[in-house]
Amino acid sequence: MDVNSAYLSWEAAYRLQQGASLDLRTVPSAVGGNPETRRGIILAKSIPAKKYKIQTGETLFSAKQKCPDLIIVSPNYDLYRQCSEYLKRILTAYSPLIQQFSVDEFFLDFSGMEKLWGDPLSTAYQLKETIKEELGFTVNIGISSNKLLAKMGSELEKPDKVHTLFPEEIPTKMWPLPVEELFGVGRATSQKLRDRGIKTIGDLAQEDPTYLKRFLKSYGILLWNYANGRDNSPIIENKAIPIKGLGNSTTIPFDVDDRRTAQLVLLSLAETVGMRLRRNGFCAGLVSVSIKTSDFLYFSHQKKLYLPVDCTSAIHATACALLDELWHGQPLRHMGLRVSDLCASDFFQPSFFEQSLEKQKRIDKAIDSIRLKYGAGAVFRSAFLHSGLKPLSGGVIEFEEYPMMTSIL
Amino acid sequence: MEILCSREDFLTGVNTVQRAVPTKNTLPILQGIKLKASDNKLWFEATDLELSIRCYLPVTIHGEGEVVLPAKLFSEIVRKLPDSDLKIVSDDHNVNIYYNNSNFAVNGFDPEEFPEIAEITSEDPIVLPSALFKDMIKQTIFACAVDESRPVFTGLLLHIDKENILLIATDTHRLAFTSSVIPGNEKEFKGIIPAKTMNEIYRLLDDEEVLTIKYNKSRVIFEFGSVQILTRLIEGQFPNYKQVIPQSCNTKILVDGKKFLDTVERASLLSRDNYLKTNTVRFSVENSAIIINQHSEMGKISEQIEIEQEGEDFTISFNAKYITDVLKVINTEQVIMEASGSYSPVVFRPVSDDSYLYLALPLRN
Repeated sequence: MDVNSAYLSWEAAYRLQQGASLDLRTVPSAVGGNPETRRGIILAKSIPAKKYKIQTGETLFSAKQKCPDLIIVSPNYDLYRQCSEYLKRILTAYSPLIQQFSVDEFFLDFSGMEKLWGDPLSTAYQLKETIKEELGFTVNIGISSNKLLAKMGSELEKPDKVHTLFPEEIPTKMWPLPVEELFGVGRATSQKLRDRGIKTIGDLAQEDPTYLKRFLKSYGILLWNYANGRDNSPIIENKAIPIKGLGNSTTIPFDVDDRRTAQLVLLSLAETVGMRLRRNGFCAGLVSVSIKTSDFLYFSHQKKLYLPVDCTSAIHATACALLDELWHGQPLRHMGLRVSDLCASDFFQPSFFEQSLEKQKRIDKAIDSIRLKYGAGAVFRSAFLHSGLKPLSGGVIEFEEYPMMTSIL
Repeated sequence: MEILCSREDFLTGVNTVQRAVPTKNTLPILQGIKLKASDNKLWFEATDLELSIRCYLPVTIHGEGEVVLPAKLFSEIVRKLPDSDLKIVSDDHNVNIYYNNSNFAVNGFDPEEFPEIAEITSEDPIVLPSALFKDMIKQTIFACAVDESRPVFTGLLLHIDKENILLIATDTHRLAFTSSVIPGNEKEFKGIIPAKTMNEIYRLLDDEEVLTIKYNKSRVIFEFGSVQILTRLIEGQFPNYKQVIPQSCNTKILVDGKKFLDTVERASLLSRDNYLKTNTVRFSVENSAIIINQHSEMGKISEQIEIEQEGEDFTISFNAKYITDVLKVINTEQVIMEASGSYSPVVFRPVSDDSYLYLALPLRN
């Protein structure tokens, strides 16, 4: 299942609910950043906006040139997280095995559920209507015998549709599509394929796999299997995906050239990284800091920790030490903080001679629970007062348990 | 330089100093072993600037002089020479080794470039029996940190205070402490000796010899037989180890060290922990027995060892190596373990011997 223009639909449904008269979905509109804080790109667009060839990821400036009447609204990630959660709640009634694949995509294993719900096609229609009625937005549902085909099916005609894409339907429904439509074919791969005259998914499916392997390595075989509708990846419940590291980064609204502000930005990132780390039950053994200067030069340093930690303040202290090593005062536009070398926070080897972090752990736990209950802004560090910086930054949606982007089914 | 000696003596000299040759490529000259002939002694020297090893052999000298030869090649050559008398003649930087009716010529380095190994002139060295020191090293060195990020933990704290001598090693997860007595000693010394140096001392020290320690603020020379090991001390503050040694315990047990070692080694076969990258072992102490019930995807093991127990029951998890390492060095048949619950450090010590103590932190889960 895939939500049609997710961010925009959610925004529109929310506004209607709040009494707005205009449905954003019916006019050229987009969810976009704010050019003043230098985050000026399109994140999602309405179907009418699509007709102006506005693309996700392009700057607001160029989108406005294509369509001067384009309505641009700011993103509200808290709302999107809520919508995503409500959607998941509805889905759990239909199957015990659900994989959230991204903020707006889900896989449902319907095996054996016919006895309860009847045939999949009519259930899908029922599900789609329930969502439209209860939550006010539309979804596409693809039905098939594996994840790849179901996903491809959900991408067929939009919006508000149910499609089947069973193996016998592949030649008619999937093969005529341009090769870029295939899951896993991005810009780089599509260029390589087009250079060799492979224009449609059908072309790819009928290609000799050993030939594909020569220029795409093993990924060529995977794509060839995908093009033929072959995929045997299981539906995995979230959390089953092993996380190797996690990090957040932020583009700062102004160039940072003083140490104190740079440290505050790191603190705001440490807050979100720390929360994610704790939420997943990990401690990190390695911290790395990256910076991008106003000239778009990129630098990064990392440091191994003696004792794995999950405390915001400990992560921040290490990050600041790294920043001092790394940075010589150039104006900064972007900063990132990443932790890896993860180990379970409830199973680790303690050390002698280390300061006890028990108190810090308790503080973090208390803050996390307040933020979870009353919102991320409910409590923040006083260092951010009058700083012009957000007390928490980075991470589109703070509590994701699914990858933001992946090419692994 | 022109000398006569047997191949076997020569090999001994090379083997003695070779470990001081740095394995990483630093200064090219340090990849060499220096030979110096004077006063009817042939001196071998190698250094990585932290650790220097020097030894001599009595040889017949026809011409004095010095030469530096590439260590790796030179030792390979000596190893492969026939067992016969050798004549070694140097000509400028190069060396000719004559054996039977053959000769091997090796190009060397300029001896002028080889760093001078500084002498320490101490009028009043500390003298102690080798066997004692060797034993102390063996009982502690395994607890040093391998990871070099904090240098202090890669060394052993040697503390000589008049008649008392202490040697302590810790990698912050466990700590080994041993003490002994040097009767009649008046001197004092305190410094962190690199584990690598201690390893070399342990390797080269003969039980019958007498060990002499000369020192100044930053360096120490250990002398025994014809060998001198000179090392730089590790700078920094050794942590206050006394504060982590528990003064009391809730449970005291007496266990057969060998049996426990075998059990832990068997149990740890099943439990490679991916996060800790090591084997773990979990056991319970109850009703005067150590009980191991360990299982993993590979299988399961159940074992029980009878022990003498005083105090409350507990269950605890360890990095298996932290237990096996110490059980291998405790000499007595019975080992005392003192614990206080699942999270406090556990003390291991031999029965009726207060000079040795080891403690390890359990895994937290």
